[in-house]
Amino acid sequence: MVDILLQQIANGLSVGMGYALVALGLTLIFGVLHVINFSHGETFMLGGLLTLIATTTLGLPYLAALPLAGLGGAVLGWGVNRIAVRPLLARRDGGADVLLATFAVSILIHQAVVMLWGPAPARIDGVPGTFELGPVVLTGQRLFVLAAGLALLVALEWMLRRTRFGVELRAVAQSQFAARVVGIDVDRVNGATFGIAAVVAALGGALLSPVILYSSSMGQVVIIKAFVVVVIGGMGSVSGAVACGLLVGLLEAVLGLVAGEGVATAVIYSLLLAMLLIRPQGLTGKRAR
Amino acid sequence: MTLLVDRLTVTYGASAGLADASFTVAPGEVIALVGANGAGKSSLLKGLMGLATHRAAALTLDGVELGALPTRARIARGFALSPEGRHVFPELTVRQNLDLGHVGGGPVPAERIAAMYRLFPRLQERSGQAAGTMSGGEQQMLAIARAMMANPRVLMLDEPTLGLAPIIVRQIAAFIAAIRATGVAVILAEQNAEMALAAADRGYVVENGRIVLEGRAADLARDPAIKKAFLGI
Ligand SMILES: Nc1ncnc2c1ncn2[C@@H]1O[C@H](COP(=O)(O)OP(=O)(O)OP(=O)(O)O)[C@@H](O)[C@H]1O
Ligand SMILES: [Mg+2]
Repeated sequence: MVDILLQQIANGLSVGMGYALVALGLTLIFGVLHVINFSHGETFMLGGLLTLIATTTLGLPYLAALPLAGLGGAVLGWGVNRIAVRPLLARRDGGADVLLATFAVSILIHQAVVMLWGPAPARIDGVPGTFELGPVVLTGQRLFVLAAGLALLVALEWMLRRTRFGVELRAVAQSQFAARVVGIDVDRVNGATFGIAAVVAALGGALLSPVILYSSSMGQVVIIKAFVVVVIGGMGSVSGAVACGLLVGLLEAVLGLVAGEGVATAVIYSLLLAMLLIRPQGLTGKRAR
Repeated sequence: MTLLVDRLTVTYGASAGLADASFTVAPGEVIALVGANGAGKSSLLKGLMGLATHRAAALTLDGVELGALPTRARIARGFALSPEGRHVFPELTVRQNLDLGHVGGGPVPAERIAAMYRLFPRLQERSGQAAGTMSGGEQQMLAIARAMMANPRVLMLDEPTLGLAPIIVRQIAAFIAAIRATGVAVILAEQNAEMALAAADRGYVVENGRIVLEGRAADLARDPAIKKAFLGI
């Protein structure tokens, strides 16, 4: 039993890393632009789809598909910002409409993908091999998800803390007016935030799709989980998103084992409701700053 | 002449915060903008900086028209603002706040930071502290120093003494005297008309979005009718 539990913890952490990577972008966009990007899950899906196309149609090795997925994510993020976010934010009180506009975009993307590639799930071959750590057996891909996810998070944290652009991004998150006073180009920072969030989500999709199977609805599933993660972790909190992403993945896997999938789902959404009721600022209570 | 502004109008949607304001500022000159709440002082500064929708027949610094440029380009050409209400970045350190005041691109000159620390030694003691955890007066020093990081030729100070202890008000007055001696022009928007006119060479009285009076600061400060009508002192 303990062995199976440890195994589920390892599996839960790797899926949780996927949640963390999606939630991170969601929370970053919320922290900087104060809007909710509902189409963010479709960027995750696109990452999976591009990986599928690259490894099957184009016959590329899996690792070569990753940059392609990241690039595709960047283009999508840039486009979503230009089409469905920036024009609305330019209007007085336009921020509230962004949720609906990006919801429409997410449906459009999803339907387009279903029409062009069909809804059938597909297997993607990731990093091969298995690794035994005591009683726990990790597939090469799950290990790669954890390692690459961690590397991405460290790189992002470094960018936010140590580069001029990262400090400018945090400055915009803290006060858009003050950022404009010191001459920061807020539109540029907003666009770049969207791009970075989308790259991370698309890479998340490229990393996770060999583990969870690619499917055209993988974005819709993950965005709901990411919302839970972001609310529990604190809207706008980067570290909160990462910690709670891993936590939700872990809870899902462990509760799924001991009490069944239904109970696991119920617990996670009860947690969401409870957080909204008693601690709407999230566990950390910090913003993306 | 350093700065020449002809008929500056600042609008918020359909309403005007400032209408047809014309004025000049010479190098090393200190001018005071005084007037009641909502008169249009901050709007004037936001218009100069490109932070609010505005139009002007002329907005030139040494003959170069700046009216169509974005804020960043105006800062690069010599404008800087310490805004009303300080608006420091609360969760960035003092040092990071100062760094963001530097617009030149490339690394932040260490010499410039050192100059700010000489000006306000308190900021050096607090360089690693989150700006939001500092006292109001310290944050005001930071807002001024952040503006000074841009090496401005026209420094705009919006309510720099609001809510500060008399000793800090005197420090800021001394700072203004020191900075103007280096040839920097200062535009001072103040509720505290007495302090502003004492620090300034000339004053403009703003009322209902218009400049209604201008004159030597000493004359404005002495005029009993002005005192009564506009300054409440
Ligand atoms: N962002 C804004 N949106 C709409 N109206 C504004 C805005 N900012 C200022 N105003 C209006 O413009 C007018 C001038 O305001 P401004 O802030 O320039 O006054 P002020 O002289 O700086 O006042 P105070 O001494 O209180 O700071 C006021 O009627 C104000 O309500
Ligand atoms: Mg004001």
